[in-house]
Amino acid sequence: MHNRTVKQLSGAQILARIICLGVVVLSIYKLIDSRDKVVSAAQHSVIGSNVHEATSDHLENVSLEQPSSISEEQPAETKITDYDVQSLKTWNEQSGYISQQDQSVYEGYSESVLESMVKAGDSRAAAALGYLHAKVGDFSKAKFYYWQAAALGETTSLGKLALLVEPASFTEMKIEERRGQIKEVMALLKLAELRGDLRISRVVGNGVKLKYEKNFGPLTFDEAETQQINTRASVLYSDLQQTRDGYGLGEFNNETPAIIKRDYSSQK
Amino acid sequence: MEKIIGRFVLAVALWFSSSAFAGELEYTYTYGTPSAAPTVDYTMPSGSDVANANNYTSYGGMSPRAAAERAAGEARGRKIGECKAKNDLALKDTKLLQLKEYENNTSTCNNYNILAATSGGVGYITAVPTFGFTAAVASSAAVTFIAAAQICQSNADGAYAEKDIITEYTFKNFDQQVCDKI
Repeated sequence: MHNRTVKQLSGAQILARIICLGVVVLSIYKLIDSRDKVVSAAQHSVIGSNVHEATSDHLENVSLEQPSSISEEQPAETKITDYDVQSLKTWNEQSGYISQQDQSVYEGYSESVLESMVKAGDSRAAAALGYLHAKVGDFSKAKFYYWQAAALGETTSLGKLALLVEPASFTEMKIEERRGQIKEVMALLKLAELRGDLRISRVVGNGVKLKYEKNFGPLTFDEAETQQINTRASVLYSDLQQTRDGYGLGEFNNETPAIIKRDYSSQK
Repeated sequence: MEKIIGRFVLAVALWFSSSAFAGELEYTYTYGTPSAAPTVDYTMPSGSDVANANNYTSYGGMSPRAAAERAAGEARGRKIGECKAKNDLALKDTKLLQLKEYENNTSTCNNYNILAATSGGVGYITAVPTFGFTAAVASSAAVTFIAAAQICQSNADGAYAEKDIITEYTFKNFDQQVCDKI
């Protein structure tokens, strides 16, 4: 009975069934295709946010190849407001992300002039003095002035303090000593994070981790060590606030601009 | 009987040889203390210095040649130490400069955000700075200012990380190829 029904299908019915089958096949294809695109977009997003890992891989086999399909790999548009841009601009200036021209102005001043500017609460003068002393190898004075700059608001100086503490890979030191210094570096970068500067914390932190791991193997901290780093960062924060109080300034403003949050909060 | 005599002679010989060795060890230790050090000139001795040292009958109780060799070894150690210290200083200076450059590049990238805001989101740009980053996204296609700001900052971050690693390896290489071979 059933077989007889099939045999009686008209040409139009067969055609309709073929079309139906075609639609189903096309839908399945579209579904697979869109899934591939989502995966590809996700991979791109990972590449964009973990640029240092990409750098590391790239350096394994040094080549000067450029990405082939640039136009397809542009970051997704994100709506930013005038307020976002203005707050980032202000925040950059206060945090020490300043142009070469602005930096050069301060490098032109004499040491005594810079010192008097620091006493008056000029963070850029403090950072300039920090570099002046670091250049001639007076690291204790360099650290002192970078610390003053950080107290006056420049979070980028915390990155410089971290670099001054970071042990060079060729320096002969015991593993415990080296590890102790790396923990101090991490505490300073955690302090930068507490101050709202995810950018300097992530960028310098990733570099330090990458170099350490290239030279000495994996860098991981257990729960106790992480706690130790966080506690040290809190102590440093209080110390920094005290230094700030000495300038007659109030509490730090630790807000992170929306654009910085968007770009760096997914990185660890 | 012969065996006993033989063992006795061997024991006496060992006794004297060990005493002499112990004396030398003790002397070396005395020389190594800081109080004995001021007689040593901390420069790399030239051939004439070695010859002069050989003319002395005594150099802190050590044979003149041994003293000269010792001085040469210490001078070399000092020069290696100075070389490494200078290298470390230069490394820190370079790292700080790189971070300053990063801040400057970040400031440049921020200009694209400002342009995005002032152009009302309709502005486009065809060249985004790479800051020398080898894996940079150097778009030749027109991108919006907002995209440009993102690409620019990614390039700045990547350039900093790349330069930082290269610097570390350059200085490490100098340490091994120059300082250690003094």
